[in-house]
Amino acid sequence: LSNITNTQRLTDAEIITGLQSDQQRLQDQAFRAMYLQYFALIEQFVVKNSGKADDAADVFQDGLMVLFRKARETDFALTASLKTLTYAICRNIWLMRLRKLKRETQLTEVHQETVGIAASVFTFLEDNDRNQLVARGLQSLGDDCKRVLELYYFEKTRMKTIAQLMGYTGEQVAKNKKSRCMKKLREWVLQQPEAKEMRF
Amino acid sequence: MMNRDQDQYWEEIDNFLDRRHPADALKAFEERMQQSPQLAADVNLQRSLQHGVAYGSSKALKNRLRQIHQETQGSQSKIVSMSPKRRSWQTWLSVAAVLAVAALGVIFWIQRSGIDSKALYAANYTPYALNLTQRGEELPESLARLDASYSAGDFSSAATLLDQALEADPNNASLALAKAITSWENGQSEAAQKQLESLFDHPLLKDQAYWYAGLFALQKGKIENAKSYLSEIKTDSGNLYQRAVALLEALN
Repeated sequence: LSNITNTQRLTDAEIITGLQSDQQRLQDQAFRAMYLQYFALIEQFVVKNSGKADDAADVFQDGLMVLFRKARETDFALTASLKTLTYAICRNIWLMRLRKLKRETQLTEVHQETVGIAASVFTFLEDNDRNQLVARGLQSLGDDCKRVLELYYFEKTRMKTIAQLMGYTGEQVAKNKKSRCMKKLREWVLQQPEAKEMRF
Repeated sequence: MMNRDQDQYWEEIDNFLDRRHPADALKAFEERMQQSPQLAADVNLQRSLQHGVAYGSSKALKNRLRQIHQETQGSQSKIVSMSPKRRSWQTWLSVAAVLAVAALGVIFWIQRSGIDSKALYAANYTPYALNLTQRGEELPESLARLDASYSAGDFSSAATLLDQALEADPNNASLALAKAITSWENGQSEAAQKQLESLFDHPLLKDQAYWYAGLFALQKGKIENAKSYLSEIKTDSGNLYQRAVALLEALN
């Protein structure tokens, strides 16, 4: 059994390749490796900084989503170890939660290196009115539109792959579909009475 | 603006937000934003829509991650943090309770002879290979899309397409098995189990159905159920039988 566990340990480059894959199986393999290699570190950090094990699980899952999206950006390059990047992402997420709960104190670090992360990469995690309204708009679209927008804006999938997954004849067809669907979503959101108050 | 111009306008905003502009084009775009409040407002609108779409799309991935959390962490012990300065009788009581639970866990673990069912599941599970190609015939568009989604591991798209395919061809057992796998991948384990059970009598796919039922039971830590399903795979099933035997040996 220890061999089985060992085979799931992957290098940083292998994990990133898994996250960048368009196959769910390979992505999940990378996520499993992340759990085996880095979850204990994040759990230790959260628990040492006023959190519980459940908080750590939630923070790590959100951190993996941020990492997944970052790794799939066209200009992504790993400039620090994956451990440091994961720690920095999860540390930011936990810090934001502590601030929200007004429980921010001096943090006890469990890993000394860190990297700067742009605040904008965390915005999709926020359970705010704007995000909720757009999510409702997304649900109001047809299945194809919803999926194309999810693939492009959430999973950052390339147009060529979206065309293949959706059965379109080419990249341009997928691009046109994305534009039409985004237009529909934009119009839906701007038509909602509460959109004005939210200053879209 | 013409539709095409509009598409290009928003495409350029997307490229700016996704940092796909080369350095000189980026500078020019930022200058245009400073001069045009409308462009700046549209960039903000598009940014908010992008965040909202990502927020709305993140639930499926979060569910997948929860499942992976259970698989990988289910059998591992949790970190218990205690401050020595704040020990009281309640703390000691908690420690005693934790130790009692841990002792029970160890006894259970010993009884199970060290079986890590989730690791065995992870080592054996690969999704059923759905083969829709028909010799000499091109696949209808809907089936081609299903084929592409399923083989790419895009199980959320595959779920809808499979429903449509099964509606048109309800007796297609390969589609039913693929549906079971898709339900499982999408975190709907009860639906997956029911779909597998409907194939337990199928002349060609019953072994595959028992194999996956065994693996799914393993993932849930139901070792006796897993053994019972795997034992149903008969000797003439070739490779699948060999794998079931190896798995049963590891479980016994």
